[in-house]
Amino acid sequence: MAEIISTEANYDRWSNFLFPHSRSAEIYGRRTKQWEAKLPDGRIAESMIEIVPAQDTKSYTTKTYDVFLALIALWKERNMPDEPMELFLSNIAKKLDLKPSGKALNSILEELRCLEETKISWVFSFQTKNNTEETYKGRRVLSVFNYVKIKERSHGSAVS
Amino acid sequence: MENIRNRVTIPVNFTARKSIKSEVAKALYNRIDSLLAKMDRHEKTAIKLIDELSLKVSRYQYKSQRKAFVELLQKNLDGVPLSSVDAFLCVTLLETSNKQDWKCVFTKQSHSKATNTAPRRLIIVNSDADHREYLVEAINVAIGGKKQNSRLYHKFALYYSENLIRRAIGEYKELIKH
Repeated sequence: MAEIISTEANYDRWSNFLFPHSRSAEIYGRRTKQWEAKLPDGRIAESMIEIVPAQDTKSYTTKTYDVFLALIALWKERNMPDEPMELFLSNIAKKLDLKPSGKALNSILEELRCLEETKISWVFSFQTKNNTEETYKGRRVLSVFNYVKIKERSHGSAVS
Repeated sequence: MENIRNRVTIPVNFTARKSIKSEVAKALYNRIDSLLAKMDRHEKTAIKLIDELSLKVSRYQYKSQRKAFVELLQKNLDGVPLSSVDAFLCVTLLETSNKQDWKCVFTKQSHSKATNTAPRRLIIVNSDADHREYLVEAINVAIGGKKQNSRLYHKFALYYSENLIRRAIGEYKELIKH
């Protein structure tokens, strides 16, 4: 049975631009996409999406999007809590059909950090329930992310 | 989060996405899935795909390199299930009309249709050559591109009734109005 996830529409709509393949030369550094859009009042505005990775690190890739989808699936399975949720990296690995090897878990950890550190600015480009294209600056997918190593735990795990 | 709660969402077939090995094909998969949710067919030249996927243009300056690229996409995406129930992706490769590039034609196929229906032979509807020319001209006036699509328009005129062609033209005009 196929697992269908309802993901956030804006991230999926622009997934080609936001989540390129990991060998793309463009993932290191600030990237923008601009186009003209007509506002509800008839004015023509410059729409833009800008991605700013943390210093000296890469921005999103297709792997990041896979982790993002896995997080949405896990969040939905837990009835979409408002509070940060506790997860083991192995929970995410399982969702991604990966064996929880050190390499896979480190790769997931790297993508989680990327989701926390990379900032996206949406200028007249973020569609909301009212079907309007709104502006949000410096948005991050994960607003809270704390990774707790095994030796640092009394109990619990990673929080994202 | 707010958008997901408000159902500003798009369905993704996560199982199918995970089965795609090539990262480049994976980057394209969601976009094609979304587009095919609204239409049955979408086509794009290799040059446009290379640009859209942020690939190095210099690596694909020769047509043979672009052919290898679209073949990779076809190998990875052809037959992959889509997010719509019972639908899967079909990728066909064609040379562009000016023979300078290749293009991928993405279509949505249904499992039930694919297994239940045998290929249909088309029946010649318009045997009068003059009437066919008249229909080709009508399509050209509405859509244009007779020079590039002459063979296709003649095929339409041969196998489809005037009534059906007029309806299709009407729907096309309606579509471009919006």
